[in-house]
Amino acid sequence: MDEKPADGAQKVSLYSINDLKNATDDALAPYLTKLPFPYTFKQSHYYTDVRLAVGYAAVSIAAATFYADWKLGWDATKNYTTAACVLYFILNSFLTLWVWKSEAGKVFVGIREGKQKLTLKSSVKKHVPIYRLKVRYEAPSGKNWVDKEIEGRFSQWFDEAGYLQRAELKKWLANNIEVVGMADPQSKKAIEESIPDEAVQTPIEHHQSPVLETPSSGKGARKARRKA
Amino acid sequence: MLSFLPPSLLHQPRQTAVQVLNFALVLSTAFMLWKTLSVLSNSSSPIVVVLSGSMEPAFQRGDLLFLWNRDHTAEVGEIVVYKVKGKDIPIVHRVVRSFHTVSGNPLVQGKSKSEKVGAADTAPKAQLLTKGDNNIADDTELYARGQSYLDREEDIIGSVRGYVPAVGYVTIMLSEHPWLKTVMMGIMGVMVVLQRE
Repeated sequence: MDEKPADGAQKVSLYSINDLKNATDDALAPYLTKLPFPYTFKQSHYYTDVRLAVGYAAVSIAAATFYADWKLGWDATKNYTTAACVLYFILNSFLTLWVWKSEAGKVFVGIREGKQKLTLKSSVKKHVPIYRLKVRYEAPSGKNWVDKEIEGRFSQWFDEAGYLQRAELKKWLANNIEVVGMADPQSKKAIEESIPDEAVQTPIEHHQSPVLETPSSGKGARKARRKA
Repeated sequence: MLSFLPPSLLHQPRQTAVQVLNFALVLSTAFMLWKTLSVLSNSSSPIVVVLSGSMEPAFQRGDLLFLWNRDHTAEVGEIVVYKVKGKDIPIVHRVVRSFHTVSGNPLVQGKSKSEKVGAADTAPKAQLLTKGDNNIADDTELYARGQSYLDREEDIIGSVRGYVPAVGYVTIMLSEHPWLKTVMMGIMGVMVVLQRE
């Protein structure tokens, strides 16, 4: 049964790891930037902005070269074209290095009102449905309070139809990132009690859906099964 | 409204900007690589496609030729590409006569209806007559009105240094059916902006 979430989310193909990753990446910022004060994170777009600035500068150089060549012909613009080519490839190399080394998979960088910085880098391995998040939480002085990698299966927050269940994603984040758990104790608690969330109301039987798993196997899972 | 577009396109301007940038970078890198090749070979068109069968059996229609334009003269027997003044089509033919002048002193070589070279010229000038291997007559008919030879610096866009057979046929098709180009670009553009791989 297709239960469309109220926020108009798009259906994601459950077989495309890349789509699942992108959808999850996109859901992080709206959650983290709306946490209650004083845990609200303000998203920093620094890496994206540098990438856009350098990228569009290079593209404008190429466009200008194209225009000059078109209007004035080859001979008149030879010297300018040489300079433009050199400059273009310098910018392009910088851009490649920037994306590879600096951006390096960062999907969220946010700063709290106390200047603590949270950096999240996501990655997936080809054809393996596991979402890996490198979490770094720094003090204003730069000291790393948290620097770890957490893993979750996409099946924990995507339902059978392919819709991302935000509540389930929040639970996973709250339980694995301490500062988020402190900010959103409700989500953190919900895992332990395994109450089916209001957002995921399926009219069919309430037995455990084969797709939605609780992350803690053992005690929690057994408890859930008994409850249902 | 535009419900067929993924909502991310409209709600997250930065992401859309990044996707558009990726597409633009593909195009501009291709273009700049072409221009770099132009700069290196000093030719306005470092890679040309053979358009006619006038050089058979050496070159067929659709072959891709690589040009080098840093020589100041051309030897008899060399294959050069030139554009007739006022026309935009590159012609690939072989040099059959050449007439050099060095430092204003004419060195007569064979048959040539030459015009007087100014004494002030110190750069070596090469005046060439060309002919397609598969043609009966030489190129005198093809040159511009009143022109009976080609000037190495002005008319020639390069001499052939290498070739790849048949690959250029796509370009011929694109130029004879220009709507194909628009269709191709349109499809590419839509695909890149909607994907995020």
